[in-house]
Amino acid sequence: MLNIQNLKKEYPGFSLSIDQFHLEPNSITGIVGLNGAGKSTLFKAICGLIQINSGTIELFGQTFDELSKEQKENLGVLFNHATFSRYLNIAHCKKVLKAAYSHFDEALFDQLCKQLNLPYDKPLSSFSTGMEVRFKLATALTHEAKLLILDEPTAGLDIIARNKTYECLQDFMEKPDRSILISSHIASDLENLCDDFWVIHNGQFILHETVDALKNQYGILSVDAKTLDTLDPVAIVGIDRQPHGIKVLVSDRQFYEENYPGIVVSAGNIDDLLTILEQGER
Amino acid sequence: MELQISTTSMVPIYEQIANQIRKQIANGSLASGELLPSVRTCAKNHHISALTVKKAYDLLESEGFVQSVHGKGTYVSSISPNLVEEEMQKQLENAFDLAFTKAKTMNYTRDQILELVNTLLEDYDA
Amino acid sequence: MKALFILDWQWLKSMKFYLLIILGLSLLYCFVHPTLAVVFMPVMLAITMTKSVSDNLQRSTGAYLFTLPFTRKQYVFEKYIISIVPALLTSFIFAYALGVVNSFSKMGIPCLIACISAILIASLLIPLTIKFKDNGILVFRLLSIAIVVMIIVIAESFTSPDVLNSALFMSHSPWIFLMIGVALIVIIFISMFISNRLIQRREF
Repeated sequence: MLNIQNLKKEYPGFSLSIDQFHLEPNSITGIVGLNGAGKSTLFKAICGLIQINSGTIELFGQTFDELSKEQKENLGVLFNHATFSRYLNIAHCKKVLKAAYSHFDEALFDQLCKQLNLPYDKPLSSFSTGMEVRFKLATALTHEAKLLILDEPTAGLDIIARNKTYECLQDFMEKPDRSILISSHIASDLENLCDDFWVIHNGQFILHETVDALKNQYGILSVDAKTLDTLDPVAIVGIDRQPHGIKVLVSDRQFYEENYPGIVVSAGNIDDLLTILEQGER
Repeated sequence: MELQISTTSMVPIYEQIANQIRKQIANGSLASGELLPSVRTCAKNHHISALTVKKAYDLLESEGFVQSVHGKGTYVSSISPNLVEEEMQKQLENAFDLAFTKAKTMNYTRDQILELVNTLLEDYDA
Repeated sequence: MKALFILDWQWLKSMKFYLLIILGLSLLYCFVHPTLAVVFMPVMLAITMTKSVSDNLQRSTGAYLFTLPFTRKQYVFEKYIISIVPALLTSFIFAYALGVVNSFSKMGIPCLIACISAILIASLLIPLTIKFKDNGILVFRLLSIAIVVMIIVIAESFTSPDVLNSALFMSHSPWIFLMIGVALIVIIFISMFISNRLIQRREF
């Protein structure tokens, strides 16, 4: 679906450098990292919105510029800072989408807008952040796209709205040969929705795991300095030393549970993983 | 098909799902030939990763409890509830076996093992 | 591409107030200075439509717009169409309407000037807007208006427009128009080529 090789994009003070990345069909993949780690830059590069210095990005086997109109219809996009002009209302946008996409599903669009409580006759400029992001989601989901690229699709949404979003996305995935690529730094996006995730830090991927492995095999050990020295480093992924205690990210918590009885272990989760990888040593 | 999943339990989620499905097959709430919810639907309803659900379904299929038909979904095998009980008993026996093997490596005597079991059972009943 | 037309139509509707003012002024000129009226509206239309480009390319809309299923070439092509065709049509309409009232021969040259100006303005402003967005484009817009007005004044300063008209129409009749037509088409193509190159490099 999506293949990236040796991508490099330089900005003064920041550079994006991706050796390889691939997105398979039938998967929801998350790209997670702190603000400024390069998620949006990567998405812009994928969508042909910025020039890259070197490397290849292939969507459906071709670069973005080479995509035919039909192939572009297979792409659904959500950017958190860009959408239709703000003086338009949903009725206008619907007309545009209908003219632009040959597989626009009007009934589904109407149903989604109703489900997400979106008014048809008010201009986009009057929408709250949450409404705007829900509208963008509706535009991405309703033209039979095969690949969705969503940049922070739950920004500004409360937990109920977020859960509704996950449901819409899982519904979207019911049809075969579809994939979703999401960027986020919100734990529930990744833990409750994604199948696998890549961690990006300073423009580079530093980890790729399935969410299943994260929750069922990864673990966070809370130890003191003495115990840390005794730990077998075979499955240690990161160590975060803080004055109040040391947190160790391991990729096989069962190993440590069995060999170091009494050690304090908790299940892996995104927030701790990110904190340890960002602040600590790897 | 109802499932109760704990996201905070240390038991892996796919095991929780598999356990509950086995139980439901055993007590008849899931009938032979019944279609299980699709992987995505299950993932959607419980807010978990689809891969986790797939892992559970794959495990159950390897044990013979369910069968997946490409393009259609996953069905409960035509397996009688007795066989399910038998299978679950076998798994329990294996779990005990593992514990006894470990106890042996620690040179526990028979009495020591029984004493340990009794102590643990007290907590279990409570 | 139909989607682009719909978007531009909505954009135009959002400029209602501005357009009404231009229309009002044009109608005023109809009574006060007919030859200027024929030129004013088309030129202003051409200039206005090129502003839609700079609005499209804003960060808050451009990124999404160019993921819609049309190529950047189609986008550029559509912009030239909406910048030139309505302007041309408007100049014919005004020329005809005012010709009925005043005299057709008087409207010939202004109509020609209007068409040429509209095409030149679009060919100049579209690539400039793509390259520079809004910075300094305002200057070019005002400059365009000023130049066109100047041309009208100069054309009128020839003692007898009727003479000039008939001279132009009679003497080299078809060849001059053909040459002008070809030159304009070449200019449009060159401008489109440049615009296409510029928009491929545009980043959001």
